[in-house]
Formats: sequence, C-alpha cells, structure tokens
Amino acid sequence: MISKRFVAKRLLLLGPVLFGVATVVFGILHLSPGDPAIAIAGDRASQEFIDQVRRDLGLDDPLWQQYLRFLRDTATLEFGQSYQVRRGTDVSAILADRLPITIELAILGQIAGLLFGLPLGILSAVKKDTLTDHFSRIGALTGISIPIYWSGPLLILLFAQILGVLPTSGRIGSSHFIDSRTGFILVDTLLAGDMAAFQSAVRHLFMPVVVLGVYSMAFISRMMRSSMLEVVRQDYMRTARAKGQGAKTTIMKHGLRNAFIPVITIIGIQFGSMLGGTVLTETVFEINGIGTLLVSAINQSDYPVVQATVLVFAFMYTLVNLFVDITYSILDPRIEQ
Amino acid sequence: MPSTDRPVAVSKTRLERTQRLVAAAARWAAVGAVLGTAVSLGLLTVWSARGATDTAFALGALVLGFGVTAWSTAVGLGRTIEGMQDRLDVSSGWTEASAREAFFVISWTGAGWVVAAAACSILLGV
Repeated sequence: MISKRFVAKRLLLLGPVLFGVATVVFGILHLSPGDPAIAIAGDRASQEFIDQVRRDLGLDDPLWQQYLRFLRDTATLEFGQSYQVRRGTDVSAILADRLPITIELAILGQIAGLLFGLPLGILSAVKKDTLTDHFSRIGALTGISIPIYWSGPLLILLFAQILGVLPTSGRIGSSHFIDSRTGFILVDTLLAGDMAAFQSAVRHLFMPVVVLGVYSMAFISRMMRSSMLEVVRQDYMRTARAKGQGAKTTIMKHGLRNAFIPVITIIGIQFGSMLGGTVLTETVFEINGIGTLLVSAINQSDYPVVQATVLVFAFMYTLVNLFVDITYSILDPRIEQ
Repeated sequence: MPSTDRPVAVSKTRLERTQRLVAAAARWAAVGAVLGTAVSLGLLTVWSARGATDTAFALGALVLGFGVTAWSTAVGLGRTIEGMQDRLDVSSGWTEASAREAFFVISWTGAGWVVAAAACSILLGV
C-alpha cells in the first residue's frame, strides 16, 4: 500500500517546480527580442495604436507588476487569450485541442520504446558477450546518438520519397473526415468504425512513433541490460536455479521484477526527453500538437500561449514522475522509507 | 594524562537547523539584492530607467526560476539520479545533497535579485 504521506510529499513538489518553470519562462520571454504589441498591431501601425495595444494588454506596467499578475493568473489557471496564434481564443481551449495529439504521440513512442527496448535489454543480458549482445549494444548506442531532427528527415527520405510506402506528414489522409471525440486519432477512427481511416492514421503515425520510440528504446534496453546483469548475479537467483527452476522461469519470475525497478525510473526521467522530442517530431512531420503550437507561439511573441504550453509540459513531466515514484514504491516498498 | 575521549557528536535539533537555513537564505538573498541593484544601476547608464529595471528583473527571474526548478528537481529526483549514475557506472561525483545546497544558494540569490530590481523600479519612479 502506498502511504498518503509519500504521495503528498511528491505532490507538494509540484508547486515549486511549476513556480520555477513559470518564472524562467517569464524571464526568458521578456528578455527575448520581439514586442507582442507590434506583432498584434502590425508593422505599419501608428505608434499611438501600438501604445494603445500595449496598455490594453498591460504590457506598459513595470515588469514586476506583470510578473505578480502572471503568477496570480497562473495560480487560478487563467492563462488568458492568445495574442497571435489564434487571436482572441482562450489559451485553455487551444491547449485542449492540441494536447491529446501530443499525448498520443508521446504514449505511442513510449510504448514502442518499451516493446522493443525491454526484450532487447533482457536478451542482451542473458546472452552477454555474444553476437546478439554486441548488436544490441551497438543498436542502443546508435539510437541514443541519432538526433530526431536528423533521423526524421532520413526516414521521410527513405519511406516516403524513395520507397513511397508511407505519407510524409500529418496524422490522417485528407480524404478521411473523423469527428474528434477524444482527440486521439487512433481511438477516434476506431470509435467511428472507419477501418480505412484507422489504417491511414496508423500509416501517418508510423514514422513519428518510430523516431520517438528508437530513442526511448535505446535508453531502456541499455538500462535493462545493466540492471538484469546485476540481478542475475544475486544469491536468490542462484538459489532458485539450485532448487531446479528453469533458467527462463527464474528470469521471468524472480529477475524481471527486480531488474525492472531502475528501468521504471529511466522511463520517468526520459519522459522529459520524449516531450522535448515531440516538439521536434511534430515540426518535422507537420503534426499540429502542442510542440508545433509552442514553436509558432515563440515565433509570434504570443506570451500567454508560450507560458501556458511550457507549464503544461512541466506539469506532465512532474505528473509522470509522480506516477513513476508510486510504481517504484509498489515494486520495492523500501523506497518509501 | 590527556583524555582520549572524543566529544560525542550531537545531532542538531530541528530548530537549530531551521535557524541555520534562515540565516543562509537571508545571507544569499542579501547577495542577490546587491547584484540586482548593481545590475539595475549598471544598465541605467545605457538604457532608460524602465528598460534597465525591467531587464534586471527579468535576469533575476531567470536566476530565481532556474534555482527553484533545479532545487525541486534535485529534491524529487536526486536520489534516483544518483542511483542511475551508479547503475550505469557513469558517476560524476554529483550528489543530491550537494545539488540541493547549490540550488538553494541560487534560488535565494535570485529572490534577492528580483526584489532589489523591483525596489529600484519603484524608487526610480518607473
């Protein structure tokens, strides 16, 4: 059983993390070039009009007053309205539209990473110093070393341009019209019972998921290998074998659970990279998630959208790590101590 | 004959620890305030009062935000990162305790900095 104290302690850390991230974003935005008032009014607007826009947005107040107002609004989840990206629309509404797209991509990437990383890591540990192990380790190192902005265009070049078997961008073919019920395209196509649309979505998401998954897989398999190698040397593993238990059963029954603890940690920590990766992946594959939203908002000095998007990223990251901590303490109750 | 007894190490009480932390926080906030004032006044030679104090405040916000984020990450994930480094055998000597201490210093310096920049802004009638 997880103690409430443990969860409460972890939840309490959410406050400082979000405060810190909000403060950094506020500082960076106000140090970076670009005036939102000019961006809204247009380059040819008169100085009076620009001043008027600035007054309306409260940008003529001293920065410390803007900061206090920003903290107050953030604390009440009042992110305001978009200046530019979707002018006049509530930032919360924009995020609600875009967030499922990014979450779907991140989850699929993580699942792909786990599906391939775990067996590869186990295989590599069990067959230590064999050809399988060497190939697996080289694969893991390659996966960690290749940046998304390079692997993405390479995959597009191979599968879309040369082989012509996969689409280059988007989430679904332009001939399919699906009502967005959940925001997750795969779920929505299934709910609509449109298998052709589902297949189109799978084909569109294949490359982005592979790009995200390879990076994740590399980390997970490397961690799984080192963790499993440590576990198979433990006395309880030898005891289980001495009692006549088969090698496969010993590994699956006694080794996996213990070896899995550090891997769970990696999944949590690495989720941050995954979110950062979605920004690049969405940009490369032209997917309208919050990654591309963030890039457009930065380019257009849309302060409320940038601030809210980064806060959402930070919140998701902290939440995933809280979940990881809880899972961790279920697998090994000593962690709570 | 000289005594061979060593003084017994007594664990510090919570009150003593809190007092020590408050004193350290105040000391680093004072350092931050000096920095914030110096940056505000230094930028005043180049920019208007508004530009100088706003820039000084934004720089202080960066220091404060970075410190607080990193401190809370160290508290939340520090032990995990330590364990991961050991497991991957890539330990660099980084510890949760040292990170927490370093980011405590940065956070309070940043806090002093932003307060000083805001105070300069008010004093200069921005």
